[in-house]
Amino acid sequence: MRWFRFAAITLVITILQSAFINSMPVNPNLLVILMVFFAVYSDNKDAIITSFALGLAADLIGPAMGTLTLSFGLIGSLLAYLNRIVAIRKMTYQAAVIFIVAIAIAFLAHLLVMLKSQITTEINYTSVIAVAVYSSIIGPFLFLPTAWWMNLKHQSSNEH
Amino acid sequence: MLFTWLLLGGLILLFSPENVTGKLQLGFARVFSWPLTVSRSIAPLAATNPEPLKNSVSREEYDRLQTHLDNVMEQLYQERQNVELLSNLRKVKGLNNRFALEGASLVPAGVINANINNLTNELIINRGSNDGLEIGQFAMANNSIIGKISDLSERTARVKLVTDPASSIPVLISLNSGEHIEAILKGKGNNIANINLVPIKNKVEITNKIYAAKNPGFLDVPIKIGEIKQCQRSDENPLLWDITVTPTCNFENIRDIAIVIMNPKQQ
Repeated sequence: MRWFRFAAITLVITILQSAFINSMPVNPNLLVILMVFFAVYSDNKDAIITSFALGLAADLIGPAMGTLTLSFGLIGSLLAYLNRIVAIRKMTYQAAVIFIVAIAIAFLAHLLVMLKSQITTEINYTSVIAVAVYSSIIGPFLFLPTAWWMNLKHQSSNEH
Repeated sequence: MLFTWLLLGGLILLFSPENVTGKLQLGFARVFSWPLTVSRSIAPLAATNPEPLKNSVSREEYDRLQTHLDNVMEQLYQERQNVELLSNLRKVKGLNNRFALEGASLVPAGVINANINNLTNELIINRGSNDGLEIGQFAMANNSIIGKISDLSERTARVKLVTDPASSIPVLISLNSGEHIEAILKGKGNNIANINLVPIKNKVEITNKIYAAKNPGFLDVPIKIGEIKQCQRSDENPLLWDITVTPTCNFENIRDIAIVIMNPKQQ
């Protein structure tokens, strides 16, 4: 894993997500897309580290520290283990995984925020599903440039 | 083993006090304030394509002026009450005759980042304790109160908006009859706030205006926050209103705000 490149892409994506993407009408979660990418294309150890690191980056622009670190970390690690059993290489599968992961992270983070700040708010299902849909549509197309930037060998869907 | 250590780190972050972890978020916003501000300024351009209008003002300008008018009307109401009080106490001299916001200082601040969703409604601004800001001071935009300072560092501060689920602000509901009712405005996320515990006997109606109540040392005159969008009997207690309030200001497009410092220290 090229950690300097990983830090650079994480920083750029975090700033873009916070200041640009979140204020757009179509707002995919780029950090979730990145997390799924590393869970799918890295080995287990790297996938766990990147999941927690991306969660920390999401926390820096998020509602409460620790909530997204844990959500990204837990779900990213789980995904990395699952990827050893079922390889997620086809674009449609990747889109489905991004959709499920985005929803799971939103729900887990919501629960942790409520636990941390002792406030009760209703989850905005429309917003959560919209973000998951946008992420799953855009996500697989971002895998190729990310693989190029990370200098990873991107395996096309035709191989599997 | 690695997973366990990282999980432990995440749990430590989760259960650390918010004033400690908040410093990390403020630090990030301060270090990357330039790219964050630039990205924020580009976003509305990419998101909207407004049609030019003739012989009209923008909705934002209209709302700003309308809010100003509402604030002046409220100040007039307060001054009338003062006149009434003074006329009843003619013999007493030197009673409070200071005008609203006289002596207050408005510190302009730029928004570095906005975090607006159903869990949190906050702004990070580029002013801090070095500029005389303190926790609890009110923030204004487009002539209306938008929130209070909840966290500070030397050069940045976090403004908890009135719609943040953790926000709770004393307010006045201005009824059509001219009567004012005291209440508490609680944030609900997603750009709305709620008022509960108002007895049904009060004739609350849609479009009644909501003002931030006076708060000694922080605000010496009520200033508009928003309007009632929905008003219905509470499901839990039919003797109380369940009032939904929408703020006057559109938080997502805010780029500049002002912090109200009531009694600024002389330099």
